[in-house]
Amino acid sequence: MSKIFASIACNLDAALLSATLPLFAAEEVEAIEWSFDTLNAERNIPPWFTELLIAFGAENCLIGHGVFFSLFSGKWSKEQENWLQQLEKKSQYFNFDHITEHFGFMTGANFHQGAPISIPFTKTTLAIGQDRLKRIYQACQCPVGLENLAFAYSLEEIERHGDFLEKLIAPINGFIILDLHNLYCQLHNFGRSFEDIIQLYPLDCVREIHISGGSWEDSATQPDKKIRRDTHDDNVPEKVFEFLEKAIPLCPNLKFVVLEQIGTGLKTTKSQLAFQNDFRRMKSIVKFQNEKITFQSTNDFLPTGAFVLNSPIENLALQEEQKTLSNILETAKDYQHATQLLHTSTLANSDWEIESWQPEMLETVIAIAQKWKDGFQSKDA
Amino acid sequence: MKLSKKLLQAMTVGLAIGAVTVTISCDSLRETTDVTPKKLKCTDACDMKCTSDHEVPEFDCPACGMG
Repeated sequence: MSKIFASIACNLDAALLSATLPLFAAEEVEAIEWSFDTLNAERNIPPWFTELLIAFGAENCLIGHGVFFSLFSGKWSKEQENWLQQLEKKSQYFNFDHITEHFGFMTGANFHQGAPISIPFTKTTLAIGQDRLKRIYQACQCPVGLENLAFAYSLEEIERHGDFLEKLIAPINGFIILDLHNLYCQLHNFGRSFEDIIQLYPLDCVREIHISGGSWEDSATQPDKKIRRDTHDDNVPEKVFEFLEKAIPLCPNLKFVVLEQIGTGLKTTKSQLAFQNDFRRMKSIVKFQNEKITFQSTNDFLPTGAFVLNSPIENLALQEEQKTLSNILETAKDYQHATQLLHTSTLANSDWEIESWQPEMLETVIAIAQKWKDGFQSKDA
Repeated sequence: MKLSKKLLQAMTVGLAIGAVTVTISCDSLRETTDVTPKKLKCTDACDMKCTSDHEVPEFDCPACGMG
């Protein structure tokens, strides 16, 4: 294992940057991750933020994390084409060490609205995902990776997630972001242990690990159960630090460990100090592992051969199903209403396997879709 | 990683005075630490095809955390 960089997800967010500034001043931050597509529409980048990105890029310590590409949308869109053009332009200007995106498709009708939601693991979605990852590589010309999703409809889905991720990245020799808080959400929500699930991931493909905090939500269908959600608005739970200590030695090609938190949870001095403490604890774990493990990374995560890209693969039936699901999730009054709509829709008895979705997870995905349907501007966590 | 004092000062000032109100054009990828509010006309280089300056009162970018 080569040196692992203790990193921060650093976006154009006043509260987050205020919390991070003392860490920058103390030269403690070794790399930053920037969600490069969150500013495509705004273009209001203060010059000092651009300089910050350039400074880390010059040291090969800048990584890019996309949010809005919507990897598994059934229909190729003009917005995706524009997203790739923006990525190509930014990749020529900034020196990204790698580029990543999220698993899933965006529920919103507007490209910059909605939240990433899972898809059926089928040959169709595999082909679409592989096609899109090739296009991302073609635009950025650096290693490309995909993050595990926090939300899952069923236990079977989380047991198959790692295997499906491995198949998706195979054609480009890509890598995986192992988001340990996402995993924490899944383990809690489905009553599994870290050891149960971690070995189902292709851990030699992990180049980046995320840690973050989240929130608890009540369930109307399971009153005794709290649902864990990946909202990034609180400190890192103790369990996630424990997962980090266990996971690093299992990931021989790991390069970046990133702390994520959003500005809405960093408005007070107390919360900013807690964020800095989380970073220092994360860094101490990384430092310990850096000193302990000496073997070298064996994968550069670049494609091993050339590939030809024809027209984007599409599946209009999948697109219709995604539109139907998005519409139901965004408009349903409650779980019962959503269940009724789903079971009388084209999604019934389909690859979506809605019949096996756990009720409390359907409740959760309704909450996620309705929270983000109007986009992220001025959104309270 | 070590950042230059100039950059750290620009960040400090920018965050303190609310550089969130700084307005720059679409052609914004330039090297400068100037935090003076400015308005520049949108240029031909802008692929947004916009017709006016961009002005956003506050940046607030949660990135992911949408789960």
